[in-house]
Amino acid sequence: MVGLVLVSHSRRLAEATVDLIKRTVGPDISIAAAGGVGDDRSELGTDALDIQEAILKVRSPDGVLVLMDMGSAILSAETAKDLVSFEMTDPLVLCSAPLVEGSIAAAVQIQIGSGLNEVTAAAQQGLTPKQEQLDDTAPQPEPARTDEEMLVPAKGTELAVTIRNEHGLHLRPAANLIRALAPFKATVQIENLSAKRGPIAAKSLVDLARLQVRQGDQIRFSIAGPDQESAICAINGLVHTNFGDNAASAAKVPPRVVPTTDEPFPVSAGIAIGQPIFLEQLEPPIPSYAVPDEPAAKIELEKLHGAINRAEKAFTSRFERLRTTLDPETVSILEAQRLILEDETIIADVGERVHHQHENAAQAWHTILTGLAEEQESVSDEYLRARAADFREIRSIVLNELREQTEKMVLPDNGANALLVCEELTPSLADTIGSTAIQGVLQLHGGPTSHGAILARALRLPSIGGAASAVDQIRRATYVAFDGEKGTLWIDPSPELRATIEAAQAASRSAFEAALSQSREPAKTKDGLLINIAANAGSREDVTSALRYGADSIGLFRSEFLFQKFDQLPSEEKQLSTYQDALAPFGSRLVTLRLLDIGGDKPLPFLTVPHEANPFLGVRGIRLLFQNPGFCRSHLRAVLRLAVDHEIRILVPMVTDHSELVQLRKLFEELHQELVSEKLPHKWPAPIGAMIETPSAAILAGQIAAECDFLSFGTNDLTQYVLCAERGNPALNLYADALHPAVLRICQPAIEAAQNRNISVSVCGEIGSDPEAVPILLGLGLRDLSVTAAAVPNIKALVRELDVSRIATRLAEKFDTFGTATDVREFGKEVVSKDPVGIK
Amino acid sequence: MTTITADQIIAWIERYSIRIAEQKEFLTKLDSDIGDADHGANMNRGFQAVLAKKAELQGKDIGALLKIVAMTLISTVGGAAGALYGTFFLQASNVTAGKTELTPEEFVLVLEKGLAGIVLRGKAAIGDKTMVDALHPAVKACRRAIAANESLDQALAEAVAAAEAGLQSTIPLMARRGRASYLGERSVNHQDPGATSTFFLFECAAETLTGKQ
Ligand SMILES: Nc1ncnc2c1ncn2[C@@H]1O[C@H](COP(=O)(O)OP(=O)(O)OP(=O)(O)O)[C@@H](O)[C@H]1O
Ligand SMILES: [Mg+2]
Repeated sequence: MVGLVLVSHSRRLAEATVDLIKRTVGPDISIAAAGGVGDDRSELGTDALDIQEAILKVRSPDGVLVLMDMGSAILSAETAKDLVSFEMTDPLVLCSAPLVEGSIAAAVQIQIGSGLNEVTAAAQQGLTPKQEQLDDTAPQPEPARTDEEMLVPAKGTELAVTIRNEHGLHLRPAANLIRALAPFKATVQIENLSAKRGPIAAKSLVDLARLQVRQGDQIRFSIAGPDQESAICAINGLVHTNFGDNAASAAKVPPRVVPTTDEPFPVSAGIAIGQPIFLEQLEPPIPSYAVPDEPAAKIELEKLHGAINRAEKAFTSRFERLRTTLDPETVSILEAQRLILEDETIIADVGERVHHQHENAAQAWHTILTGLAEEQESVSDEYLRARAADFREIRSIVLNELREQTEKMVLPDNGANALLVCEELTPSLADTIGSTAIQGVLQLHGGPTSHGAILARALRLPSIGGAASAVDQIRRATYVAFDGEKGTLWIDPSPELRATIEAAQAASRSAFEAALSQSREPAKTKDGLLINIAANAGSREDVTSALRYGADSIGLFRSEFLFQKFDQLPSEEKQLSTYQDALAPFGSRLVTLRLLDIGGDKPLPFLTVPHEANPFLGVRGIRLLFQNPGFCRSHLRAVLRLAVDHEIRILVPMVTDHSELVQLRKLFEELHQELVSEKLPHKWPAPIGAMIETPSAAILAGQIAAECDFLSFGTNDLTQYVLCAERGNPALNLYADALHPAVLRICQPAIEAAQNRNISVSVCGEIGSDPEAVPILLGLGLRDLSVTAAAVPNIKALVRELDVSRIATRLAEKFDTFGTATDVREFGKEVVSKDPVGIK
Repeated sequence: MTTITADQIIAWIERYSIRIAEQKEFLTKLDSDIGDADHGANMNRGFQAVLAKKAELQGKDIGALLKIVAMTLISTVGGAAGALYGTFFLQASNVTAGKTELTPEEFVLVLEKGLAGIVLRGKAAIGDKTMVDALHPAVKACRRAIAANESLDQALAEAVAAAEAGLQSTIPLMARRGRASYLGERSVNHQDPGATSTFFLFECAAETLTGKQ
């Protein structure tokens, strides 16, 4: 029988309720009262030990339900739950149901022998009969989200919206909102109705942050001005995409893993050794002179404006350079950082300090930005806390601009003997460091999948994270070394150890150098098969890296990053010139260009998809293009025209069956006629290929292969669809392995279909860059892999060591025994290590 | 290097218990403006119970004595402050288990763990008008000072100043946590009682932990 505990500030209330239940429901319910403080518990209050005792009194393997009144009763009950967990493992639920009604409803369920879940549900429903009788049902707290319901237009020019964003209106969505409203003449005021904060003008990031809009809060926009209708449309658009959060959170693959241990963890491979330099050391010392009077204050503020302007210019140009190489989430973080630089409230607050507290510009700027960073750090949301680094970075950027020319920071030897120690590697910091000789980055916090981390790997900049617990030792150390692949950290290693580390560093560097020097050569296996190792790319920078690392071609050019920068539908000309610019470095080499692949899970500002319950199963890829015929035509025309200067293969995303290819080919024919009549240079026919990323396409690969010129496996999506495991869900990481035998088996017929028709079939998912996977992919008959550019040299080197025919034989023997991804990996490991089967 | 001994920790707790007794009326007055007029009484009940156990505290290592303080508070204070300060000292006791003295770094860690415990338990953020508004800046100030190799004296002085500033910041705020949150707008223009008792905690630390008793 489930036990019941009632907690009230008033012992008498708790006991009287127990009495009520015993008399109305039955005397044999297992129930205990807790509450009251003081010697005879006659004073009002609650006490966790008392609650713990009550729980233990009614404990049962069926579980215990605790109901409480408010305030400290909740905190004490939670504390009691912690305490009790040391001696009791029976299930225990704290429930928000109203004390009297809830406990009676629960007792009724307990008496008929229901389980803990039913008892809890009954308690939560406890108010319903009374509400129905009195006809005062409370408004449903969170109606299921539909787009209509999200917008409750209030009178005239007001708009009330419930915020769905997981982290509320944090930096990024707030920045999106400010940017979107900037062009309008209408003034827009925002008020947080739930928290009763505001109204404020929708102009300052800081003001918006102070509204403290959290998930579930109602906010009200008041809009007034000549173009208020358009402004409302803009706001509506933002609400649809949860202020741009949808796009970014879908792009957050793999999810931000927040490591739970205090141990350092690997971030970016490579061994680094050097003198630790803290980021603050690069921040100039804050001058302490006072600003005596108004004229002096004016000069200070002019200096500050100058510095902010310079910082903004530098920031913008770096940002423009980076934006196409970064995923949407990072781009929007950078956008938000730029808005911090422009924030009127910050400027006003700084001005206030300079005028009235007589602080100099650097001091005032430092104080305000530090305060904002700390405010950010204090929130309980892990994700938001991490954003404090954004404020710190902007603080440093401007302080660096503020200092006199003569005291510009110089890194000794350009950092050649140094390691940078910072809170978290941000993308722009990674970029700055990329141009110095700094050996590596030691992050005190920072996750392995943060965007700085991804960039560090692309720059081959060694890094580890999670070193916070060692910070004091690092501060005192003369030398620090770490292994970015294993996550090992050495502080002041002995001379012998240091020599070993340096030797290991030299060895891994020269192995890479060796691989790099060979990487322009074709990759031929031991048994003479030519394997095409291509690079994935999404921007001009990626294309350059592909060249640098010796990729044979571009095996997957993703269009999404390039298109991310457009706020409105780009014209055909605009699309053409964007592609031309990105591909220019690659000359006439082969590029497999994937048509724009967007959908509800990764929307672009100009092509929004109505809300879908299940965007991964929604209007994506070719489906979306077909549903937007106008844009689709301009897109396909741009691609045909691009094919004049580059050797282009056209890859079609999210194919379900061959009819889509038939339809697309017809459309291309039609557009070809159009272009001919307009006398625009273009190329048709061009090779068309299908992405094999839906199970359907894999199963029907035979028919699909008959309608196209090549196939390409998108293993990331295929894996999530075959294993029914959403790829962004960290709880499902276990299933995020394309080497799962179910995935390999579904690929097999498609590989055979391609071989039968003598067309090429490639793999362009992450799995191609995984050394353990390479022998298996080749063993299955694949001859084309497209990988991260920086991985090309090592993958080519690996391929040259493999004897594919022997691997294939061994794999065929073993294939039917594979039941899990681990089985497959064991096999791959065996081959890559010393197994005589693959490598001699 | 300066260290903090178990005896100093006891002196800190004792000094704080006395301060609470002295300020009981004041804390209760603050709580009567925005709460239920019991914060002073609650805290005093708890810390008098702690004082009564002084003999038991002596001779114990820091982790063990803080644990006694924590459990005593949890079982006697009665209000939200019981669970919250109790959690603070319980977390503090976890990181000091077996230690008979603390370096300044270790002491900051104690504060940080305690803060984390309170935030985890009460889910309050800065600006919610709670003790966190005083505690968070104080802990941060202390961390910054120690990391910059300033003396413990200096660090604690900065922590007190930060706690005071944090306390002042609660005046214009509207409560979002705890019982005061039921008052909504009415809680504006009053100083938060919990933030006030937290400020005293740092004041007493500065008086007892740095050798200039
Ligand atoms: N969730 C919380 N997080 C942090 N601090 C809180 C929280 N709730 C209340 N407080 C703090 O506790 C102080 C009030 O403590 P007090 O001992 O008076 O408890 P109370 O709120 O009256 O409890 P009760 O619910 O028993 O009436 C507040 O001033 C506030 O600083
Ligand atoms: Mg109270």
